[in-house]
Amino acid sequence: MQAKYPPISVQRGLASVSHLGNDGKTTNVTVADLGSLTRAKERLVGVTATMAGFYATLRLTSPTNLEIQTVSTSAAGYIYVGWEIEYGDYLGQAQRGQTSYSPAGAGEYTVNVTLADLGDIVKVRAEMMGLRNNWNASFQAGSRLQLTSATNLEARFYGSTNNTMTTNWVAHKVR
Amino acid sequence: MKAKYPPHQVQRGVTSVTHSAAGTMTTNVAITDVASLARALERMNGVTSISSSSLFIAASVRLTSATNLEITTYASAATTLYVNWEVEYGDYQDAIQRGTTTINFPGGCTEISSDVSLSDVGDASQTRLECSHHPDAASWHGSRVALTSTTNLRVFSTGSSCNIITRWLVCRVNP
Repeated sequence: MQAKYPPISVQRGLASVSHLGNDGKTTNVTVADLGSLTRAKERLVGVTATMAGFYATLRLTSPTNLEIQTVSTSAAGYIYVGWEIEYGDYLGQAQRGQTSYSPAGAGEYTVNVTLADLGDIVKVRAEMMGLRNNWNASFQAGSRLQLTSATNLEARFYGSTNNTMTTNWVAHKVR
Repeated sequence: MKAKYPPHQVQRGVTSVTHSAAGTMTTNVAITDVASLARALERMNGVTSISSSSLFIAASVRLTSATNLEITTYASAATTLYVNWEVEYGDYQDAIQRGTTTINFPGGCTEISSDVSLSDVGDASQTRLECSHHPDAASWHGSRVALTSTTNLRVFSTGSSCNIITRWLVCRVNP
């Protein structure tokens, strides 16, 4: 008998990115072919480093490529980014995007993103994949994300002048 | 007829926490009964502040009962934090494992790991991981988790002159 929900599979890995200090890098990781971006969701499973002042975010840019962006705002060292990609039919039409904000002063700022109607939001998850900050920013940045309706995603950024903050997100139906 | 796989559902919220003094605070959030901790997964979806000075902010989440989400935050004095969270619950084979790992750091930011024994998760490609963390003193901070075998989780953290407390969970993606 055919399963009601085809099995989900998970790919995972670790990116070790060398930084000289006060710099940003983009690392592309080849992943096993996912077939379709709308049936896959990427996820950050944490960031660590050998120095202070580090940021990371990631996103799928094609069914075979995971883009990881890292920033060191201090010394030279390594930034370690753990990632997972979950893929299977249950995801159905996952929506993803990249949202940025550059504030003119310190505070929390809101960016609303319009989505294609997701239906009942009790059946939807919205996940944020880390945060990239400007490499020469001294103010520690933060971000958070929440679905506020079936067609609206609210991203909030915490930063100040010189913070150029970027986060990636995926909204998808749950099983 | 009873569905073979009960549909998953998602609860979400934003919790504000005001720190009168620098350090950690624990906030308990009542949630709709998820019936079993082994069938529910919690996720921290970012943290921001409205304070106008550069500071270290962090938040971790964990379910402590079927009706309670515990949020632990770190901030400096006179700071209000906003923490976004989601709880997804459904049929995970009653197999979700979760725990807390504390790693002590000397001065100087570095990465340290700690191994945790798990009940055998079976196929790692059918397993997903989540983590969130907070420091207990002002420090740059980070955590990530990785499966090194089907019975071992390695928790990595970054910090300086503090403890980094990481909440983690391991769950199967197919019912």
